[in-house]
Amino acid sequence: MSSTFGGVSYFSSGPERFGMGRRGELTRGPFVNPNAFPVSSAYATDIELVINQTGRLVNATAAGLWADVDAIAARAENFTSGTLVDTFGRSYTNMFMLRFTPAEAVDVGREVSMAYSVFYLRFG
Amino acid sequence: MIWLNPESVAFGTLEIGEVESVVVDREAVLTAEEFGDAGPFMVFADVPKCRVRVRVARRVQDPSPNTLRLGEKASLVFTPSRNASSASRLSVIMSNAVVISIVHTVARSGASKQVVEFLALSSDGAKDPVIEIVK
Repeated sequence: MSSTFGGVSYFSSGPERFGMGRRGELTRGPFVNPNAFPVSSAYATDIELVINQTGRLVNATAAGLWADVDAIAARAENFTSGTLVDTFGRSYTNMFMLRFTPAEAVDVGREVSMAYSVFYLRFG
Repeated sequence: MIWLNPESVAFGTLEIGEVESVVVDREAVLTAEEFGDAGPFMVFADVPKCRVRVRVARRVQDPSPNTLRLGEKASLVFTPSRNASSASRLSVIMSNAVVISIVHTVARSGASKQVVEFLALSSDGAKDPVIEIVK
């Protein structure tokens, strides 16, 4: 299944993969000085949820590919949260699409395609 | 593609004689390959960069000065041999071909061989560098 963000399927033109950032407690440190052992301390709060997406946008034409890129970039620049549903059907509410990173180059072969990565974050 | 015993082969203004075969090979320089989350198999593959390599193999009967130079660029045009059924005449044209190797094989019996290898260049990156024209 294709992923959706805010109910919109931005990446259905090509393959996509999802991964999760580290989970657990937010800590600081370890701090080290010449007179003490390393010390870490906890904030007693969870690490923010991070979801990473990678994949490739595919289109028959360069214009079609760039239209997809523009739509995704506009969504990444629109600082509003949405529900992310990944390719496994797992749903993450209140996520922000903070970064959309296109690959260095567009690949033009049989089709016009471009690899990308996306960084989603749930604040707090 | 393989053409045996072409009638004529010319690199720029140089006629290359005694040619036994012309071979055009195409190979991927870069592949785009992708997998999905659903399983282990590849779901997307494409070739955004490819190389067209042309090999001209010829007999070398007599010692002759080699006028080809590595890196030299010119048009490469040849006419495949006609068979009994061919009513039309085919020409294969590469507007820009670059010499990348000249290799000799010496045989005690029979003719020694020379294989000249070219890279065929596209005029704009999108057009196929090998053009077949039927006259």
